[in-house]
Amino acid sequence: MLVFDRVGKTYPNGVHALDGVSLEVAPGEILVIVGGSGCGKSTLLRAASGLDVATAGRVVLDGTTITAPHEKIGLIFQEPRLLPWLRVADNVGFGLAHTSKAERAKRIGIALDRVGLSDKAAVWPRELSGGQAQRVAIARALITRPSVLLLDEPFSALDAFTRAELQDHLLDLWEEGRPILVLVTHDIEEALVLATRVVVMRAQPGRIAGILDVPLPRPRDRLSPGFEEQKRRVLRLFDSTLINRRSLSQPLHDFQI
Amino acid sequence: MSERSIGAVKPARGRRPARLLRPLLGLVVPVALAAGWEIVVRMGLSSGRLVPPPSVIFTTFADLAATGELQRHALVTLLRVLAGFGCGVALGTVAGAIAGYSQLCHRLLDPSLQGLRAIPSIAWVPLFILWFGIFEASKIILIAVGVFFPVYLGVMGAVRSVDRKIVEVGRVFRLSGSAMVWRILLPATMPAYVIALRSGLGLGWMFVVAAEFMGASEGLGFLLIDGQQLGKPAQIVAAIVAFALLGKLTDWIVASAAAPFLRWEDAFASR
Repeated sequence: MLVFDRVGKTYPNGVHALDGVSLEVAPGEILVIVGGSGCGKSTLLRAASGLDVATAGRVVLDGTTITAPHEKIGLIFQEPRLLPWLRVADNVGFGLAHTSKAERAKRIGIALDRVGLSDKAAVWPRELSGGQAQRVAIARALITRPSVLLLDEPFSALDAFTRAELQDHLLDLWEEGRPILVLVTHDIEEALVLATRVVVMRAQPGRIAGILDVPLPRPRDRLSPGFEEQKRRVLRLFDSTLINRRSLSQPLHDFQI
Repeated sequence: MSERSIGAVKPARGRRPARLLRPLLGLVVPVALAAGWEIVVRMGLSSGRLVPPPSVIFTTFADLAATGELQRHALVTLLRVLAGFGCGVALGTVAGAIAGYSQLCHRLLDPSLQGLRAIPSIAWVPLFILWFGIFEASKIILIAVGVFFPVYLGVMGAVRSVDRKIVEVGRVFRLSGSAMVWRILLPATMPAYVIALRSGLGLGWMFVVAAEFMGASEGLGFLLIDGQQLGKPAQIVAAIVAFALLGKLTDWIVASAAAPFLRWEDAFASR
C-alpha cells in the first residue's frame, strides 16, 4: 500500500506547488495522475520517489515513510536517461551492483527479452531510437523488481504510434508482477488505456480535483463507446477545474522539472 | 533510371582516391616552402647561414642523433616533462574534483586558484630559483604549475557540469557517495578530462623550455640556448623539430590511451 498523506510542497522561492494531497494506492493498482502544466503532478511523483522531499505531510510505503530513494520504488523519467558510456545490457543491469555476475547476466537477459530488445544488448544507447531507449529504461527500472513503479510522463516525448505500442507493452509487463504503477501524464487517452483509477489535478496550488474509477475491461479498445464515455467523464472533471478562470490570467508557473 | 545510376556511381568512383589524398593536402604548403628555400640556397641566392635549408637541418639532426647527443638531451627533457606532468595532473585532478564536487570547497578554493592562475607562470621563475635552487626541483615544479591549471580547470568544470538528470539516475538506484563518483561522475567527466590532460601536456612541453632556459646543462632547451650562443641555427631548428616530434608523440599516446574509454561518445566529431 502506497499512501500519500496530506502531501504538500512549497519551494524555497515561496511557490506553493502542492497542497494537502491524500491518496491511497492499493497493491496491483495502476493510478494515473492527469493535469495541466504546473498542477504539481510531477512534484507529487518526485516526493514519492524520494528524490525530493515534501514540505508537508508524508508518503508512506508499507509503513515506511519515504525520505530518500527506496529500493522497492522504481522511477522512470520522461527521457530515458540511459548512461551513454554503458552498453544497453549494462544500462539494464545498472541497479544490480550487488548481484553475482552470472545472476546479473541472467536477469539482464530476461529483462531485455521482456522488452523485446535482446538483439540490442551490445549496442550503445546513442544507437537506439527514442522508443527503444525508453524500453531500455523500463527494463532498467523493473530489473530490481520494485513493488512500486513511478512513471513521470514516460511516453510524452514519443510519436503517437510508438506511444500506443509502449502503453500496451507497459501493461503486459505490469501483468507479470502487478506492481503498483503511479503514472503522470497530460494525455487523457493514455490515462484511460492504463488506469484502474484516474486522479485529476488542478493547479495553484496543486490539489486533487477528482478521482475516477475506470471500469473498462482489459485489453481496452481506444475506439469503443465505453472508452469515449470515460473520456467525457474526465473532460467534464477537467472543465470543472477551469471554472475559476481568473487563475488563467495569472502568470503560469511550470513546476515540471 | 540508367541516368540516375550513372550519376550515382560516377562521383563514388572519383571520390575514393580523393578522400585518401585529402590529408596530404596539408603537406603541400610546408613541403613547397621547404623545397623552395632549399632551391634558393642551392642556387646561391642566399647563404642560408641564419635560416638553414632543410638538408642542413636534417644533417645536423642526424649527426646529433648519431653521436647520441640528441637522445641524451631529449630523454632528460622528456623525464622532466613527465615528472612535472605527473605532479601537475595529480594535484590538478584532486583539487579540481574537490572544488567541483563540494560547493563549500569551491567557494573556499576557487577564487584563490583563479587568482594564481592569472599570474603568468613564467613570473614564478625567479622565486622558484630562490626557493628550490636552480637544479631539477625548481624546473619540475615550474612544469607542474603549468600543467596544474588546465587540469584543475578542466576537472572542476567537468564535475560541476555533470548532467543533474544523470546524477538523479544514480540517486534513484541509491548509489553511495563513492559509487556515485566511480559509476557516474568519473565516466561522465572522462571526455573533458582527456582534453584537460592533453592541454596540460601541451603546457608541460611549453614550460619545460622555460625551465631549461633558466640554467640547464642538458635537455633540448639547453640545445636551443647552446645553439644561440654558439651561432648554430641548424642545431636550434633540430631541437625544435625534436620538441615537435616528442610533443606530438606524447599527445598521441595520451589520446590513444584514452580512446577506448570514450568510444561511447555521441558527438559531432564521432559521427
